Amino acid sequence: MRAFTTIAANTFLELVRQPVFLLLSTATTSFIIILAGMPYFGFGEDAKLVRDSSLAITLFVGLLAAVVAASSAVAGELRTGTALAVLSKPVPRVAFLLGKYCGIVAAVWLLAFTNLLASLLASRMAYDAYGDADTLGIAVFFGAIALSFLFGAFTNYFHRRNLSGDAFLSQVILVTGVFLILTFAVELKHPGQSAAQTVDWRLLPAGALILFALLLLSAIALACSTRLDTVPTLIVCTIIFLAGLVSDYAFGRPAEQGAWWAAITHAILPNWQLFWITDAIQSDRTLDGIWRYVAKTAIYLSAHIGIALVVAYSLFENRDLAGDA
Amino acid sequence: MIDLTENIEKQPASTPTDNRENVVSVRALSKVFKDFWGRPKAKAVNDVSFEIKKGEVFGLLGPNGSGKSTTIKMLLGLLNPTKGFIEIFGHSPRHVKTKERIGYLPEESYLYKYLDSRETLDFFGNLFQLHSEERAKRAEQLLEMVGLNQVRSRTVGEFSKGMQRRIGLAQALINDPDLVILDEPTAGLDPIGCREVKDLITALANRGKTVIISSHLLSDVEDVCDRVVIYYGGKIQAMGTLKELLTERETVRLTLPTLPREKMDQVLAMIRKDVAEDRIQIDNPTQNLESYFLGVVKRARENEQQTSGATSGSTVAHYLREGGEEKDQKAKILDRLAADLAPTPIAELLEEKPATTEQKQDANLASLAEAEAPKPVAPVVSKAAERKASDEKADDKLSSLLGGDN
Ligand SMILES: Nc1ncnc2c1ncn2[C@@H]1O[C@H](COP(=O)(O)OP(=O)(O)O)[C@@H](O)[C@H]1O
Ligand SMILES: [Mg+2]
Repeated sequence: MRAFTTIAANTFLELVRQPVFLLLSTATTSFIIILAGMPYFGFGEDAKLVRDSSLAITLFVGLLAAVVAASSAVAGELRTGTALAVLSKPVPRVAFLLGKYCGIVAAVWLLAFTNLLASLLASRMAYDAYGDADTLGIAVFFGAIALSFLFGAFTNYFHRRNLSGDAFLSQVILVTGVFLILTFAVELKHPGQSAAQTVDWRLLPAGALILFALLLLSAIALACSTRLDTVPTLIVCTIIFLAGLVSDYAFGRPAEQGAWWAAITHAILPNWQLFWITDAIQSDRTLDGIWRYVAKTAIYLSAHIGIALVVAYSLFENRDLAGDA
Repeated sequence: MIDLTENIEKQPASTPTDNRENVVSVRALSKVFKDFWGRPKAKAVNDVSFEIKKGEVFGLLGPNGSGKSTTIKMLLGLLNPTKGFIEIFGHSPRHVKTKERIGYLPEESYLYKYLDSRETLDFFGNLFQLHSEERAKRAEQLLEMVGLNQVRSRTVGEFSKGMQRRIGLAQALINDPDLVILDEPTAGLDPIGCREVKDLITALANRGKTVIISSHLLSDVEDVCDRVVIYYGGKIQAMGTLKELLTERETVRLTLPTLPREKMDQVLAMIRKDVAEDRIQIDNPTQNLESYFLGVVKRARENEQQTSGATSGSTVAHYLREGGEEKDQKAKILDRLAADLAPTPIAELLEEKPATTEQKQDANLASLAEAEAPKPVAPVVSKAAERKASDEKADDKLSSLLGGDN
């Protein structure tokens, strides 16, 4: 158990200290906020446009981060031989693998979490042809981003700590703070509107489902990384992702007509459509029973994560660990 | 092919060597690396058998690519053997619990590059479920030992290759292992580092630890190994104690202080009676480069010159030693004695205690004459056994001298 927690914590820290996480987090949260700060003249669809794109960014960047994290934490360590040092200690391979998984998920989730907060903020800032950009909110947000870099530079200069890691973690905290303050303490009114703008809370279940999807994608990336390098892992994960997106169309329909191969593929392939409910969020509709749906999807998901982890384990348990030599 | 395994087996069963517990047994071990399609790609290890006893320092020698690392990775359960049998402490190499007793330095020690040396040792200590105070204490001593305590706040990713080796060595010892496996421990180390590694290995062996080291640098293993195997192309080409492998039984070397001219002539005249001129060789022994280099650096250090690289760790970590400071002192004496004994191979021929210089010389001359007669093969065996016995006598003497606790 101690081996598992040690490896999980170490994997998480080693990942968030890589500059790529800070970079992804800064770039994507900024992009989401800028999306909300620009006028679209979208004929009333402005808010939906911002919603869809911010969640899509969260999902794709999360997929990318999961692949990068898994290949650096597993494939990379197998290649350089770090994993050999670790597995020569009293560490069962399954503890190693699960520790890696949890560390990867923690890092990926933290990144997705900031992106989701940015998406929620963006849903409040979004405006149509009659509105105005939320200059205060945008300024406060970018102030927080700048502050996180300053904090990283400060601890790096005075305490010789890792800049990227500290900047990323402080960014998560600062963005959370900004989100709470702007949402609950600052009133945002567009000129000519009587009601104040609020966060579109219907994004919460949508965001939860995205986090679920990333849980599964991380497990798939982990399984690939036990045998493959970064680029092949990225290719395999992308293929599984795309195939899963069209699963209903490509396999679901033939399956209904009795094609057994399609039925099996349809059952095994994760159906990403289940995790994508932003299309259901229409203008002013409330989503009835959405949380029950989320719970059901969670069950579907755990079966798939289980499969992915079992595959990962069976690929790893008897793998020759030779390092680069 | 020199195969001395037979000779070893023929030794009388009464020697304590044979009663020692087997730490590692390897029988008919082979490893074939396969490519993606399952076709054989490289036969890295080919039908290898050996045994390693408790307390032995065992050297795996061989050129690059001869299968040393592959053998070690199989011993650790990292690679699965294609064929053959391995047992470590009486268990399969995949047995997780056994690994609590093993320390391993991989040939490439890339550790976590964003951790500093302190955190690195803490991480590995945690894998052994050590208490936090114990971890801190050991990390402190190990960093002192490998000479990295001045750069402890720098991350391992910024370390030079030699510094990486040092931190790798430190992590291998965090659990105070009974079996230490070092894959090319001196690769990338400066001569001082090499010397320290060798001293460390000696210190570990003095505590009854078993050590396996692999190397392609012969000078590395020469001073420290009890027994070696020499690999070539994945096969064992030779195996035995260094003495067995290296002693030239047909020649004798006499080392003595410079004699006055006429004394020298007398001695030579005596020898020339029996030996052809062209078979006698006289020269001044030269220091080897290593000891010369160490001398130069030692002098420089005494003059307090500054360096920004790794400093040399002075002492073996406290917890790796037997007891307190007093014992440390003893270890040093032991090392010195051992070092003094080493360069005079003739002393090994002495059955009796080496008491005075005259006695020594007499005996030397006696054995000199004796050695002249060509030896049939059979007596060599008993000779080897005798030497072993005399070695053990010397060891006993040393240990009784030191209080007999090692
Ligand atoms: N992972 C691997 N895949 C294929 N061949 C390998 C692998 N590791 C080692 N080999 C081959 O096995 C042989 C022995 O390698 P190794 O044990 O690393 O040698 P050494 O440690 O003695 O230098 C070499 O020919 C090497 O090319
Ligand atoms: Mg090697």
